[in-house]
Amino acid sequence: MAAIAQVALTSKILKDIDLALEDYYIKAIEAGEAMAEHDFKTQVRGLENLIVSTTRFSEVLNYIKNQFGKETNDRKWLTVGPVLLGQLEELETKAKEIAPDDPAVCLEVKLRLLRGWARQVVAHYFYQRRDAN
Amino acid sequence: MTLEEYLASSAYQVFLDEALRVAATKAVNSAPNDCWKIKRHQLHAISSVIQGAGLGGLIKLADNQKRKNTIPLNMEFWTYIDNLLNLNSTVTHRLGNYIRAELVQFGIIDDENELSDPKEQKQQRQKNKDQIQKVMAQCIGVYFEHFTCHCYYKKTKAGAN
Repeated sequence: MAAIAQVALTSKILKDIDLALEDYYIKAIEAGEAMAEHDFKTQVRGLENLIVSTTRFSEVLNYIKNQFGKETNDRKWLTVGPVLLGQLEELETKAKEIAPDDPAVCLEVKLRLLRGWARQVVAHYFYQRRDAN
Repeated sequence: MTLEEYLASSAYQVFLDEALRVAATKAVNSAPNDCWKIKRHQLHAISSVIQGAGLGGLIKLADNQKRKNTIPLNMEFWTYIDNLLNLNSTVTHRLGNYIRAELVQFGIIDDENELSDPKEQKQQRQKNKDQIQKVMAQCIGVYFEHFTCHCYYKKTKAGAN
């Protein structure tokens, strides 16, 4: 199968992505804090690895839904899952505002917002867990 | 654009990521009598069969289960899966419809309904069917990833096992 062509983003779109991530910082912190109330270390690393490697925004949504569906007695995903899914849906909406005309560009924007968001969430998760310990 | 070019394009990646996810989510949410509440091992079978035997394997499994499974919820679920995969079924969110809309949008197939001659319509319908089935065979794994994950999510939210 031929390689998918890289999508070029304009400097305006790149700037809009940075601004969106800045604006979303507080919410990402809230997600990190919600996760830090439980031991999510393994799943956080799993999520991080997935986000770095995936070419589909939906693969991350499905990972969270799948984890949610495996819920065991500690019920941690029942509290955190909806928070993460809600934020990802907001990021998707934001991506459509930034790149409304070209679906391929929109997908690339989604992936960049996803990676930026994940860095914020994961960093705050480990910061809070260290603080708690 | 040819079908091969489309399948190698970023447009197809976008289709897998969004339109297919919407299709699968709507299919789960519209499942008759909440048959998505089926036991997990029935859902696990879907991805296993697709990995091993592709679309053909899943069609055979669904057909087999809908006829032979004795548990009513299971029969209903597999009948629904069979209908979702069947290009001729009348189920609202059947997969073929979404693929068809995508291929018409990109000019890979022509809408047979725009032809007035019945013979030409029939020929075009057959050509379209072949193209739709090729795409279905390619995207079936991702479609059912969306489908089963949404089922797991709904089951846990509903407190179902």
